[in-house]
Amino acid sequence: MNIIQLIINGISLGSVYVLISLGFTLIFSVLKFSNFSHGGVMVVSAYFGYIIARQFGFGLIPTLILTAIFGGILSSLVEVIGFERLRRNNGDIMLYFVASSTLGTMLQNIMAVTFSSTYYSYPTFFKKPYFELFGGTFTIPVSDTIMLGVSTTLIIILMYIIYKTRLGVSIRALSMDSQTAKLMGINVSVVVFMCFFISGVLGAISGVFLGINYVLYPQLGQMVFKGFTASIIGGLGNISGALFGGLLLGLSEVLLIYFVGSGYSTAIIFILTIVFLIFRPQGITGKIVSEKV
Amino acid sequence: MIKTKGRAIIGMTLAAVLALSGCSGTTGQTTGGSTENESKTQAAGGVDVIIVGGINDLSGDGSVLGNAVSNGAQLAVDEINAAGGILGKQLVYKAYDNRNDGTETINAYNRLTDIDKAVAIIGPPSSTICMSLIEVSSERKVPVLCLPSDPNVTVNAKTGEPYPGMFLVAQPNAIAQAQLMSDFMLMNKNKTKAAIFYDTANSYSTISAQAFEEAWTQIGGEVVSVQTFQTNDNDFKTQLSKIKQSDAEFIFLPNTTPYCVLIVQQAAQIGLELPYVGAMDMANPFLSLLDNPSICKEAYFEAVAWMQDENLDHFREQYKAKFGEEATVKSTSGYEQVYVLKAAIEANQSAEPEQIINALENKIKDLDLLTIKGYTQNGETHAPDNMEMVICEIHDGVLTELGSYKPTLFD
Repeated sequence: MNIIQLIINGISLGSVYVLISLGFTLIFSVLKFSNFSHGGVMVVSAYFGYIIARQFGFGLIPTLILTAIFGGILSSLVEVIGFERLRRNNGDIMLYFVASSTLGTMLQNIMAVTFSSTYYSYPTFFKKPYFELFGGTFTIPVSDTIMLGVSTTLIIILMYIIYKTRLGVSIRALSMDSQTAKLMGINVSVVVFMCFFISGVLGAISGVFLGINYVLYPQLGQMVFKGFTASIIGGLGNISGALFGGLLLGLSEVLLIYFVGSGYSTAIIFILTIVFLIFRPQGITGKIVSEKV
Repeated sequence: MIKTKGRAIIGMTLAAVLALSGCSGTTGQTTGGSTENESKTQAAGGVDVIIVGGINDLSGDGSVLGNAVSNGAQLAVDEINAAGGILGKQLVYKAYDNRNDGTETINAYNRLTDIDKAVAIIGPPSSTICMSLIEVSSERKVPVLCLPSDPNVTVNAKTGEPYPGMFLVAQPNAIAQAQLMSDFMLMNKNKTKAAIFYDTANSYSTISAQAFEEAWTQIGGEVVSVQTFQTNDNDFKTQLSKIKQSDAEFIFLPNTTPYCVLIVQQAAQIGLELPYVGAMDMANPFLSLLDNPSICKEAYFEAVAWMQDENLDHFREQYKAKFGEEATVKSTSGYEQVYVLKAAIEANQSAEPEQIINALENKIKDLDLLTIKGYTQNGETHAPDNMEMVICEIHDGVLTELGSYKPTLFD
């Protein structure tokens, strides 16, 4: 197969992982824990998007917008229920991890009980599912192209928020030191709430695209582990790392499946993740910074 | 601080318990129908009942098929009870959810045999899961009537002896299925080059792929591409792109229904338009799970029954009235399994598990069932003998029947 087609496939797959890891990375950068409830938010939002697209016949853009708002609200609720008290009482980091895993599992199981494990297909939003370049030499799925475009746009918007807005300054201050940020007058609760809202928006959009690309079922939220892997590769807590990590993970998977087979690709990706954790724990784009007293 | 930590821990534990209780349990779980039956029996003061167990995936990845089998079995039990039961006793169907997990399956089997005193089990449609019951059913000798396509589930590959407790009922095994489809594609569709795309982590998928490759090459066909994936993989575009670049004239997809849906959808996304050849899992609800069924332009698969047959009208009506959904082929399989069990109990006039095993091995011959005429259970293979199948075609998203078919190129 043409290597360029493989790269196209890899970037398409990677764009899914970028979206997932963005929401994941944002929470890690602020609260320093891996928020596995992100998977639960993704899958609940995906079901919400499915329902409104089916029941009301909305097109892709309205579905994405409404689902994004829903995901933001859901994620904020998750923060209030699962993490706010821990944060106020300086809870141990392990408790955050337990809370996030439990909430993620609970949300997925609520979907399983409500909708059963039957697979559902999102409505077809595109008249033609793919387009061809150079007389059919390259085939590019339409959904993947749109997903890549949306991922890129969201990253730009997120970078703008982080680096050009007061909220972004607050987020960066909080990610450095929450105590000092509080002392400097930053309302930590509001900033954390907004981070979860933004993370929920990102999770919801990734959930809708996962539902479009694949099928909708309760265990779809386990794709959050791909986002986690992408974050490790790119650099936990680093927004640009989420982009590079997601694309690199997608490319690696496609190339490994093509040259080695799907059976070994998962194992090799796992080994690569361990290697990153051992030899470059800060990821590709992260930096190890010594804290000065 | 300690109080707050304690509250946090209690809160997390409660949340974990809530999460786990959201899952279907394997203990003490019965279907609504079986609870009703139990109540009726108790209300009548009758304590002499025959317990028929059910172990199926009712909430996991395979619940589409698992629920169909279990519901079909429940319907058969209700019918038999309405007609007076078996040997003057009412049947009680106790269904447990194995969530497509081997450990849960064994736990359910142990509970059904030790506590519920089931005389037989209507087992799972998954070969991988059925394998987890081989050892325990051989020890306890409570027969499992199940639907594994893998012949290694019913017969020990090393010794050639059947496992005492395992029976493939109401469906041919993977080898028979593969021979039928390869014969049909060569003789009727004049295809000679096949691609195979299967799940290496699924016993049914693996054995079906191997059986098809052997059968296809035996009759002169060529396998030009073999691609694999693993259970829980979601993206198949790389493998499908490789198939697109090969000379394949059709793709053999021996995968469970959800994966057939994923593969067909993603093939459409990359412009792959080859015909598909499925085993039995392209029967409904496959088409209903596709948002746009017309993306499946050409497909052929085999089924034990054609659901639109007028002989099944009453069955379909009863099923829809009771369960609120359309009956599928797997529903008829669960239904037939209970009637085969009934025949076995009546043959030896005994509901003792070992007597049932004896009857299944020796006395189920030329039995006329709802969808299968002249059904015979082979005592040496614990599988049906020479079962005819129906070939179905999907053309531009429309399902039609091509009639019964038996292979001609195989002995």
